Amino acid sequence: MTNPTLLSVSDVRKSFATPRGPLKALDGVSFSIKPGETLALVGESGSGKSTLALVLLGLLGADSGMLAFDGRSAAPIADRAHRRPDRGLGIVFQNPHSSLNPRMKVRSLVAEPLKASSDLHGNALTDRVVTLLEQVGLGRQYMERYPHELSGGQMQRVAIARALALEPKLLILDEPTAALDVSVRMQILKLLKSLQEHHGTSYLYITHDLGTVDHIADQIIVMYLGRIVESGRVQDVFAAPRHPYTRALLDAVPTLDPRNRGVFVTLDGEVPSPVDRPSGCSFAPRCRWKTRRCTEIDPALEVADPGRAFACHHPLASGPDGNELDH
Amino acid sequence: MKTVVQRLMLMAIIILGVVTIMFILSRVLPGSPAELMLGGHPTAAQLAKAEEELGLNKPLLVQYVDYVAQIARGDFGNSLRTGQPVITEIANRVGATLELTTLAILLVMLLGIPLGVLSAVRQNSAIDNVARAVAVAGVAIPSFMLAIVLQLVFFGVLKWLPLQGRIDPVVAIDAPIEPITRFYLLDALLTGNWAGFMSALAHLALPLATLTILLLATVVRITRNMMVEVLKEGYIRTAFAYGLPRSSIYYRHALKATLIPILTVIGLTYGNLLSGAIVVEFIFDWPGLGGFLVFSLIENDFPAAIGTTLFLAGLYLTINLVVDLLYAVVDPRLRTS
Repeated sequence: MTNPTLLSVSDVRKSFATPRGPLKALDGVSFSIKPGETLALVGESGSGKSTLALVLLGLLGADSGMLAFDGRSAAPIADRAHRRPDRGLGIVFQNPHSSLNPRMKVRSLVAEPLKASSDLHGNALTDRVVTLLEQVGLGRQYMERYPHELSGGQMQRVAIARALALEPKLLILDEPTAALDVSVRMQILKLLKSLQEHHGTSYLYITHDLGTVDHIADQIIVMYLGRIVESGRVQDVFAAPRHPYTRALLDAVPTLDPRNRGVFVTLDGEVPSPVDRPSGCSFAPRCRWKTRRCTEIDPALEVADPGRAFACHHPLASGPDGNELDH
Repeated sequence: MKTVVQRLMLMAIIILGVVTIMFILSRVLPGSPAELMLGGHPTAAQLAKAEEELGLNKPLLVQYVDYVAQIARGDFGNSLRTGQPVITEIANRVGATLELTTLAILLVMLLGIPLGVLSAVRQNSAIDNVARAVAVAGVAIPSFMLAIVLQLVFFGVLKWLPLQGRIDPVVAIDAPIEPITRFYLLDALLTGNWAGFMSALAHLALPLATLTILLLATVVRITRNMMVEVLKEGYIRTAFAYGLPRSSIYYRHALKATLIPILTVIGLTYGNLLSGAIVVEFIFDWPGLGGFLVFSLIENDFPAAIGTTLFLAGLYLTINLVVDLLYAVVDPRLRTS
């Protein structure tokens, strides 16, 4: 493989002006995605996940940062703002109720991006729409339906078919299952997984639900207040989280095995306002291991093993079953 | 279908209300219809005879019931001024009013909707600010004042356009317009009567401009405000994310969503248009229903006034019924119920 990365972004910054001062939604975010790989981006509300998606698509201008996509050389990410998004970059938004125009039939909803990106028309266009719908598990009979005649899961399938119509190399999935019933979430994730195997698409999977990450993702990035606090391969991070915030997120995932209901690290309080970010480590006010050093010095994101990084002065032990709680 | 029947019944009740109000007004206002019918200075005996003929000596309640029954049969009576059946008078004038109001509403939509979209897409730009300023001015200027200013400028100063009327009397004799649809512009076109067409167009220009300016503001503002809201919708953001052409996003996605409120406003505006037409027709001596209504009221011609009012009320209600039925065409979600 001559070019092992499909997308790489470095040092993306975006702040919003608020009456109380600048809100740093993205504060120096860097990562890369390889072809055919899924990168999960997790964090609580307000951590900057969706802002990042909008910046990548050019729907929102970034303040600084570089971006290289699909073999092209790196260019300032701000240049992308309010231009037509790159070919090869697609998105599935969180809520299909709002992302599908209620006044259009499924046929036109799927055909529309096709018409914009190709010169298909007539029967060839209809055939392509049918193929796309079949790929997402919907039959031809759904063509003449309106979104309000579909279930949430079916709507999200239509949204995925629309995104696939552009034949993206990277598909951004912005909490694609958050608005769906629990019972259909796994179906949608399985669909996405099988589509990935079929097309070799890369995914940027944005979620706050860690329970779904290991089903779909290869790599994970944990964000807190606009910064990456931990990153690595999913199995490594899940087996031994090094940042206390990652640990707390993982402990918040419900488990069905009563033997695993051991000691939980729960989070107290709210995410601090990104407008008046605490000095030192942003997570310190909620961290049970914090020391004076944490409140004074902001920890940098350090690479530990290859492909593994975290930003913490007192990382949790990397052992298989560390007794870090006695710390 | 059920809703249509319900709406028609509701319309009947509203019409009955209008009949009642008009009846009460006609009996309360000073001036006897009998005097008008006789003209000059009638003797007491003549008056009594006329009042008996018109049924004015019966108890009010009986008069009311008789009147409602007469209207229900579709008989609006005879005009006291002309002696012609009111229905005939209306039929002779409705074409002029419909031509004026229909063209005005078309022009308002044709100009107002794109202007509103442009204003919304370029929010707070120079175009938006000018459009909003013009909109406020349009609402604030009374129609009679606007009409007279237009007459002063285009007839008095520039001498480009005729002062009033529907067609030049000379043209009307040399190249008379054959009444087919009673829309002069259309009839002249159909018969290839160019002289008639140009004269009708010149006479139409000022009253049409007055009504258009009067209503344009409302449509521009509503379109703009609705568009601003719709442009925040998730599916608009999605459309941008998929790189769809901007014109398609604005006109296919966004405007379609705003059509229902715009339709509603246009339906309601039709009421303003009809009342505006009454003033405008009077000022421009436009031979339509509005001018006829004004003269009927001035001269105590109650059958004509009531008949015209009922006709206009029915027209307004019908337009709004059609608008409601159009909702289902525009929004598929309303079709199932």
